[in-house]
Amino acid sequence: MAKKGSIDFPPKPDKDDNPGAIKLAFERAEEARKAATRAAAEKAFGPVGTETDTQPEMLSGQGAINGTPASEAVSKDVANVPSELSAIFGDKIPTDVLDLYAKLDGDFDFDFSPVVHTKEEQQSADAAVPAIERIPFDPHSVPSVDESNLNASQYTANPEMQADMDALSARGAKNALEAEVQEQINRNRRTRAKGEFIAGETEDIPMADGTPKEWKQKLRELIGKFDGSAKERFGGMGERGERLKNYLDTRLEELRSKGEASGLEKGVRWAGEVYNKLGWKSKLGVGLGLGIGAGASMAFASLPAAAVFFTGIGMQRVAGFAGKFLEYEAEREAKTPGEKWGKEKAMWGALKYTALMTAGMLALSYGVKEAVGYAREQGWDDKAIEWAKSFWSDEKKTVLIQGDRPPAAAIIAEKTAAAHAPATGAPSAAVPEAAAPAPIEMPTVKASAGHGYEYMMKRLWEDLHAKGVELPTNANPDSDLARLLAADEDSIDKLVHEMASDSKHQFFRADGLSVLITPDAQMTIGARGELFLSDAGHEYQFAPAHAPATPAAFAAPHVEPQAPTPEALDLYFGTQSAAPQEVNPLTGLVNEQAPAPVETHTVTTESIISPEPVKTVDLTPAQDAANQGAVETTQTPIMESHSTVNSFGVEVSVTAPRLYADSADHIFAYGGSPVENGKIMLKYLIKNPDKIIYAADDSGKYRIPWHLVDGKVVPAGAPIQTSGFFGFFREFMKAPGPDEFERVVNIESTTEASANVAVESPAPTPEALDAAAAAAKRAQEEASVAARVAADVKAQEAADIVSTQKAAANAEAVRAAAEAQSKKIDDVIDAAIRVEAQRKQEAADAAIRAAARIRK
Amino acid sequence: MISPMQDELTAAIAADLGISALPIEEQKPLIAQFGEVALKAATLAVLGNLAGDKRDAFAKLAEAGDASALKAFLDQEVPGHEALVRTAVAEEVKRFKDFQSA
Repeated sequence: MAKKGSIDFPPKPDKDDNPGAIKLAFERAEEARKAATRAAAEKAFGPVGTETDTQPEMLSGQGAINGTPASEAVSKDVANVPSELSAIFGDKIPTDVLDLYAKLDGDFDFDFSPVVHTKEEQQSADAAVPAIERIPFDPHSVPSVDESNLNASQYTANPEMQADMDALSARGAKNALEAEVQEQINRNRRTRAKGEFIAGETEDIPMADGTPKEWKQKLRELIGKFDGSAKERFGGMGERGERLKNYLDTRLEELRSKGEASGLEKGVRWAGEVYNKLGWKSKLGVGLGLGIGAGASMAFASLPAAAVFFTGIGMQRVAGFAGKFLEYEAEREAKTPGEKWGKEKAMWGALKYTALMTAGMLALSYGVKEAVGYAREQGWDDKAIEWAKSFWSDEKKTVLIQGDRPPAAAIIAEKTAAAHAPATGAPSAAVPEAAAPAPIEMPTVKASAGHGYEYMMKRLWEDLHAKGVELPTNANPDSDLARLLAADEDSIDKLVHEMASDSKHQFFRADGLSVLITPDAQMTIGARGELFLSDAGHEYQFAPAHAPATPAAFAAPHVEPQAPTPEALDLYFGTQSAAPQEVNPLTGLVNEQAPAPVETHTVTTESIISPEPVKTVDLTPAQDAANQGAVETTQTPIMESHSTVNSFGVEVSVTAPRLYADSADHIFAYGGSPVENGKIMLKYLIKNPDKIIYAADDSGKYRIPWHLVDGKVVPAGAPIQTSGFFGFFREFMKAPGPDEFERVVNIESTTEASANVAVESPAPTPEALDAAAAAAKRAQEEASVAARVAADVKAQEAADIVSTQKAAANAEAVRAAAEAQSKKIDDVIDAAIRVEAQRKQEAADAAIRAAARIRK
Repeated sequence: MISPMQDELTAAIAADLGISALPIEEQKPLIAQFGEVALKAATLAVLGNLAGDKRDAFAKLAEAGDASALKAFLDQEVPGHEALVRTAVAEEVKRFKDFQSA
């Protein structure tokens, strides 16, 4: 228990028995006492600076005591006048001073004898100090302090009062600061609530664990981490990244300007448009094709190499090539583990994909010679080059398509030759271990007019059985060879149809196109039992996206064309009433429902030349079935005739080609096949050469404008696009449909020269018909490209939407996390401020108490 | 196979461009954008040496991605086109790296 009257040390010294600390405590106590005195004075005499000059003088020191006005100095007979007051005021002590003193003196009784406490005594003394009402710290309740008044000259003469005022000023300033910090915190919260980030600074005033500025800095850093994370997910960049991005933006603009200045802006714009349609993989490939990533030597850079990625097939090929290398490496390692292949592996490790891909690009784009030359430049050894050549060999005509292999016959022949040749040490990874143990001549089926992919497969199936080919014991049971060998007469038709259209082969595609098979094409079985189709320019295991294709709409030329009869011509030109039963001029079959006639005209004597036999073969399942029907008489395709009456009351035939017009006098060709459309358009355009006719492309999906050039019907431009929404969401217009047609265009009546087109108008020449067919084919090719582009764009848009949605979701999550973290930080700051303020409040209170004791 | 290869290619191109130190998320858009710069620079270099009436043919062949046909076309119409492209792209790479070191 501390003795009453012992000294309380307001702020705890560092060590209880440290004389320096004690001295410090005394100094602080003295400061606190001065502050208390100053506060008492202010309280007693009103706001500082508004008092008369006489009042301060009353308390300004000994010399002023007797000069105090009588009205202010109350002579009181006070018993037990405190000696410190009498020492100052003598017998005349101001009443207010006495009152103030009484308040200060209320609870304290101490002497000035310094006493050294033990720690326990100090703690007991602290506990014994009567509790002072502790008001929770509220920075907003702290009154502002006018420092100029605190430094008023009238106080400077009294050091104690000035010290008191200084202490008060400091305390007020502290509280004001804390209030400001709190306000700043609140502002920050409001700012964040609006989705913004903190701006502005606060004073750098020391606090318990750092200054507010430091706290804010920490807060910003933490938020910055979240912010940075959010930026990454938003696709944003750091400072350096942004700087580089800005550079590239500027550079692109420079190139655009350069192109514009040199008249090449179209080319520059084209490059940008093509490039921006590509996905990330293909963009990587374009960069690689241009030599970026191949090292400082830039040993290889070529626009053709980059262009293979425009179609999206390049990366697939390169991936296949890389896969083969790894496969080769793994096979060799499994077969001859150890250091024999260490050099190749080291080469692989050194070159990685870069040089390999570049060599692959050369092989894809140019040929084996250039690729091997590059490989040598890169330091590939002979073995690796030989291995590469096995895939690039012109003799084997092997094209790097994912998973392909040279024809089995070639592989087997090579293996046989290798078995008889002296060992060269060259890698033979190209010779699959799964090949047949003995040379087996795989059957080969050649393409023939009117026969398609399925037909060839079926003939191959027959030959396989005829030759007694058996499935090798180590062959893949799911291979094409295994499936063909397992099929019987009942299942083979279904099997070949499945194989034609499955995702593995894709000869018949989901979009209705089928791969064009040239007359020199032949089909065999590859080294791993896969179907292998080749012609002079291509070798396929599956149909790549860029492979020439022919649409189902070109089905007509499958049969040997016959000269159409006049009746048939009238039927297809809509110039004669349909007989109860009409004959399809191309198939020779009876239409079940003939198109309704639109007009009746005199049968002309036009000399119609039948189109030349088309050299290509359509391989769609439907057509192939038709082909087989034609050849094997097992199926009989029937062309269905159909017509409808649209909302304008116009009868529109699906099978009979006619011209229609809408309210804006746009002319449309509709009905029948593209070839038939070509004929009717030619007929119309010859008489109306300045007109444009809109018709479907050969896929039947999109709308293409046609016009007459040099007597030929050719597309007048790209497929028509919708205007979209402010340029967005543009898409290709669908092919003309029956609901658009307001009237039928009478071809004959459109001519101004004569009403009798049969006599006056030039008859379609063979060249014109060929031109129409060629135009249709070109249109088909362009439509195919357009369709692919549209599909790419749609896929990219879909990916962008998904990406945007994900980014938005991520951003929301990140923002929420950042907000939560920010709130935590705020709470920590708040707590720190309050703790510190409370601690200082307590220290100030203790100092005041100490001062009172000292004073007492 | 695709993803590792993309990673390898990305790393190789990033190294060539001197941006390996950047986060991968920043590398990708820069690589993509640089690819456009390089393609445009290369296209300008080639088109600048191509007769005006041949430019449409070039665009069609290039867009079709028929490398062999495009090469044959350029071999005939723009002798030394590979060197032009190589120089143009190398110049862009150099510019980009110079900018970074500036």
